[in-house]
Amino acid sequence: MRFDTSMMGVPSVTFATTPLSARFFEDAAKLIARYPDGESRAALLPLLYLVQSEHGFVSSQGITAISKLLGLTRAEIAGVASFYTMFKRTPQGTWLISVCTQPSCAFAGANEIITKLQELLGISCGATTPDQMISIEEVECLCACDGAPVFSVNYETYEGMSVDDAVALVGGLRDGATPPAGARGDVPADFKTVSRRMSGVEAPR
Amino acid sequence: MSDVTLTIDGRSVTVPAGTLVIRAAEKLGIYVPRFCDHPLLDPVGACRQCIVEVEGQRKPLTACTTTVADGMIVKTQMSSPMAADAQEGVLELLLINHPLDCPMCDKGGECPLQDQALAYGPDGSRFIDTKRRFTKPVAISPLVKLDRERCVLCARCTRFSEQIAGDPFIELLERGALEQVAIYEDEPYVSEFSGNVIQICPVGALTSSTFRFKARPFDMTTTVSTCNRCASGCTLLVQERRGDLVRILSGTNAQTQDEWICDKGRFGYAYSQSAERITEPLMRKGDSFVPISWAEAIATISDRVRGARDAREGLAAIGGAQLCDEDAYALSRFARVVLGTNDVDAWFGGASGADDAVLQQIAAGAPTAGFAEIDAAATIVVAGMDLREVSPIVHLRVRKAARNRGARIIEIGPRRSRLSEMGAEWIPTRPGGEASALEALQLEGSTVVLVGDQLRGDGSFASAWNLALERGWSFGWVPRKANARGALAAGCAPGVLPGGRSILDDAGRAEVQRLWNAPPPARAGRDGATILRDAANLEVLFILGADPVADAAGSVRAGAAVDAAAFVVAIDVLLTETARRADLILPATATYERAGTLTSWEGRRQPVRASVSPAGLAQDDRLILGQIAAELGHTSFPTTRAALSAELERLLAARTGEGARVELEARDADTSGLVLHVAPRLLDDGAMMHGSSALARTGSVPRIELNPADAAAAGIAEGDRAAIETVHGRATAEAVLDARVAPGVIVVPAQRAPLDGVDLINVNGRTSVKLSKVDA
Amino acid sequence: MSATIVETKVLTKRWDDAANVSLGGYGGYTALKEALSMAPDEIIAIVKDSNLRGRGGAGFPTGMKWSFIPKDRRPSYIVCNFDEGEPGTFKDRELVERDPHQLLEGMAIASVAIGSNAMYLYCRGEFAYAARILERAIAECYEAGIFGTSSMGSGYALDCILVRGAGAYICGEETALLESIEGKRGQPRLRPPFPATHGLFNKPTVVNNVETFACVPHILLNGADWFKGIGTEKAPGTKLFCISGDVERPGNYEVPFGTSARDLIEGLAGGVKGGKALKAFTPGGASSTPFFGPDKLDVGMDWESVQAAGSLLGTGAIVVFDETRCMVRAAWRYTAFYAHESCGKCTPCREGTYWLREALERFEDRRGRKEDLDTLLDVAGNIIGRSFCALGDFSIAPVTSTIANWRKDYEAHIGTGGGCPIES
Repeated sequence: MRFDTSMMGVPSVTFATTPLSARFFEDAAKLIARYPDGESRAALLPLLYLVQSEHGFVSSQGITAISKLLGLTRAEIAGVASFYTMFKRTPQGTWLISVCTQPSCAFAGANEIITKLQELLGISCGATTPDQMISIEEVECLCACDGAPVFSVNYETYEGMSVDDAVALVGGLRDGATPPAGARGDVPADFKTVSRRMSGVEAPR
Repeated sequence: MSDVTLTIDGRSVTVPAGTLVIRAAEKLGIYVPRFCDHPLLDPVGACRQCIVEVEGQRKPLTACTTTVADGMIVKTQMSSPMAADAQEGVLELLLINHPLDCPMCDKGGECPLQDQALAYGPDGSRFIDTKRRFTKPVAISPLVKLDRERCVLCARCTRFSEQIAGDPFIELLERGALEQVAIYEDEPYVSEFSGNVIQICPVGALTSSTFRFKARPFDMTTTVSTCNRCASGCTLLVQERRGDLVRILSGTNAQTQDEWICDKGRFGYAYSQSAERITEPLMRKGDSFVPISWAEAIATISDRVRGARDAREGLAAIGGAQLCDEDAYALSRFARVVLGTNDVDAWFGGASGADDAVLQQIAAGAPTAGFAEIDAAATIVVAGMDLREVSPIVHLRVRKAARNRGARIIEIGPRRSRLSEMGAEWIPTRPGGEASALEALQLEGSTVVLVGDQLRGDGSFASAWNLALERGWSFGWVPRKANARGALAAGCAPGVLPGGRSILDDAGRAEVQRLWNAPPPARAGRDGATILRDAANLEVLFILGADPVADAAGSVRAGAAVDAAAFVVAIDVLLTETARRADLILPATATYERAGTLTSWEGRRQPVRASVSPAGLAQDDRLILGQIAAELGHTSFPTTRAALSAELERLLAARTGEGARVELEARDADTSGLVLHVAPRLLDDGAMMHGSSALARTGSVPRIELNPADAAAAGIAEGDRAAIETVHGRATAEAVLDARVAPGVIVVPAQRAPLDGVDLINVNGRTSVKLSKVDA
Repeated sequence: MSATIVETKVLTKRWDDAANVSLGGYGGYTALKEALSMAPDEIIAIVKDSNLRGRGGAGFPTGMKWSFIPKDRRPSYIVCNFDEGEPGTFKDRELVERDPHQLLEGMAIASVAIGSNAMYLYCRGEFAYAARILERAIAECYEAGIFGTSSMGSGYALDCILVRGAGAYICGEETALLESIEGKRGQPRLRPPFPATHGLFNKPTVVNNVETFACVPHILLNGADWFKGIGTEKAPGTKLFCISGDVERPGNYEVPFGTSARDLIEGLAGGVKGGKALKAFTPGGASSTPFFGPDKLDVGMDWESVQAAGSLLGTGAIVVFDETRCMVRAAWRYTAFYAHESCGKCTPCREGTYWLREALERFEDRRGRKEDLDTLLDVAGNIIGRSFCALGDFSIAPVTSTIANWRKDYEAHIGTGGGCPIES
């Protein structure tokens, strides 16, 4: 995990190409209502996931909408969104590949997976393919170390795969295949759908 | 709460319970280095610089977050090698990513990082790897520049913005070594108080764009003075270099401003050094002005005064609310003795006998509220003004009362202000309805009611006064103009002689006469608005430090008035709209060039001191008047500052009065239909904003503010262009729908070109207004 | 090598059958039923008596923590810390995925004990599968009347709200976790006041780890004495140890406290992979702790023994490094983790982890200098005990322990370039 020592610009603001849907605002109201009176700010992280479910990242429109819903300034919201790595600043691909490179996974080939994925897709870590299919990122421990190497597709883990099999899986995704079932037996949904689940709006309670 | 005794570096100190160790150490003269700690901000313990050793604790503690305990034994860096080592370690760590910018950093020479690194830090750095770098500087507002590389993440600026000002437009973004202060890209850090973060930033991360690269601290001379941009009464540190003003900082006064000033006071001094200054007397010749000598100017004026056919009708003077007490006093004396008239007034907003009776009591020393009442009251009622625009530091004090003590705030008026962020309850009223709303209040516990100038002119002011006396509330008057209270006490009012003595009171007149060697005129004077309305009958009109053409309410038709008067003498700093219509303009010193006294809204008299020399041939207003008086043969008119001050002090001495109820006049019934409310703005197009372009850019966009129901009734949607029309004229602007506007009221700013509410409003009473949509 | 070591399955006893994930497979929440009929103080007394200690890393006595909740301030909250993020730790995830109701029952009993009606379950954002399991389990509980306005017909209300993290390890720190639930940046809070009196939404709050809550139903059903009969005197009960890295059989293993590292690594996990020699292992996860060498294999895995041997038990995450591994790279990778996860609030952690990581990166590239070693140790000394929260304290352990015990690895990295000479 090398630190990029090149000069950093100002935090950027990216606009999404579509407006937020009416459903967003209905869902937002539901999420805000879950918290005690006067504690609506607690809905901020769920709302950021909800924005991400519409736009594939935390868009400027999303921040503005949340600002009005919760009575916070946009700087405050950007402050929270930028603190957490799972809130993305640029549109993510349909499939977000997160590869853990902590020692247990590194021993099992995680660094090779990263290198080969970058070669395969022609993008560097943290970027998204031009066709908006795949994003790759290096992450910290995914806490499934007994299944090293561990990587996830939209947070569905794949464990104990060889470097070649892992790379082939991603290659398949790039070519339009649906992903196979992950280590727990479920097939991951696309990034936006998964983000929506993370907001908790679909939870039974 | 009892006191606590503890030992710091072997010395004993007793402090109130709840004191932080770092403050207790200061009482002993022991300075523990710090960055994030600030006595007026909630402690965070983030920088870890103030580490001290506390006996019995297994880890060192931060002095800024540790409260004292009885018998605590503390060792600072003065007596604990571990604490000294820890502090050196923190400084070394702070410096690893800090750029070596000192030679080009504005903070150099007054930088806590420099000073503390020198005193407590390592000799050099052992870090040889690459620092994290940010593009810099970033203009986060027209006034403030941010350098993220220099930032030590003390969060003073973000805490100030959120806790004190209520403007969290800067926040911490990211985390870890990338943590940085930032704005949201298209939401600049616009806040009336933004300049304070520059002053409290302990490094050169936040710098002033007007001061950038101008001077080193050791090259500047600092003068302690008082601000004259509003009536809050803030202490300023005015700094000059080689005769030029380069910077203004906030002074410290725990009783008034704490350590804060607003951006107008801090950044708005450019007018005094602009090319638009009047530097010599100017005489009108046709459509233009030609410079003349002081001698010729004084002679011309004196001729005019001498030749005025009927002194009692033909001579008048207005102004004085922006000047020092001594200048206002000179004007009052000049009008009565030299012009022989009581037609002198600092106020041209329309008069009411009842209001004037109250103001006379205030001038005579009746008790009024101040910051101390705000600090203590259980309930604070604000009527007839948006404190944040009219008197920002009073606004901050009210905010503090709510935030720190949970004081209840009630605001009454046509528009809800940002006090709502502190849970203020809003009683919406139409203009003129404030008095009855006050009456309807049922309150318990101590109460202070703060009343603004919007209640003057129709007896509402007097109503509030009576009510406060009846209910045992403290009454505070927060005027719009900086020295309105001082001018009043100095006698710049038609019915009031210096010291609040009524012109009808024989004993008072006698006292004044003894000092002036001349009787004050007996005949009642006209108020400012009336003077202007009758201007066609005036032979000579004196206007001192006032710009009624720009900021007097419309029906006075000040522009035409000034044209109609036979001869107008304007004494001012800049070529204002009023001055442009005068016949003779005399250059006055700006506030930074004069010495004197200002009286704040509390009645607190504070000194103004000169920092720089007068521009060109400018003189103090009081001296100019003295010279005219002398030319007209009034040999006893004081011609020096000292003599004037002495007279004024004598007249103000021992003025204590009791407040008493005044008789109220019948008030007009409310009109029906839409009415106009003009809201003063802190950053407007007033003459003294001239030249401060960066500051002006932080002002709000002028819009017509409508209650959503009224907008809907007129078929106006957000962003549409709307037109408003009163008997005085018409104006158009973008409409904004806001539930914070009372129904039936349309709010426009005063003096925010191209929308100037004062042109459209009546002097007294309500102004009916018609609203329509402007088709594209 | 102990060939006969077996697990003591208490928390993991239902893991073998997938049917136990559902409420039907789990059973009837009998412990909660009993708790609902007890006085809150009785419950706290049993937990106190059992000497149950927090399994999130700190080892604080759980019963005592619960007893700090003031009786007169309401509402109060139970918060479950499921923000497992420590490299090498994966016990909470498996506990939740295989036996969610055990956790929920433990949380519910804790709620009754402190008089709280609302439980917040903070689930790490990346745990998509575990979150789905929890959503289903919570829904089952509501359907069955275990959660709701009258838990199991008792009249006592119990609500459970699942909240998600969003990718910040620091949110595993209890006050940072509370900040995160409240919709803020996950930066730890100043203490005092403590969460017991001013926690979630400024109300009295208990924050406990998943594994800690999971113990509670068993203690209530089997009694404090039973619990104390397992493990050591100061560390009763069982502990899940997560073993990964260069071992034959990585996985979660539940054993009594005090079981030796050797029994865990060589006994249960099958020894170092490929028969290689053991070079180093973390006793308790990257967080926390100085690495141990093979000389520490016989240390009993409990808080006191590990601390006496010079490290910390932490979460019980044992990562094994075989003889081919480079300790410089390990230190670099863990330090990069801390630098990435540092919240940035305090100078020592924010700047210190930056410095350490940059210097270690230089070493990784074989551009280390001899004088750097003492400098790094000194920098580490300026961080520990000086930072705002424990992340700073723990961040230096990889560097300090590897320099102390594997200085040769570092010396091999002194030079002017060429990459790691030990690992490829």
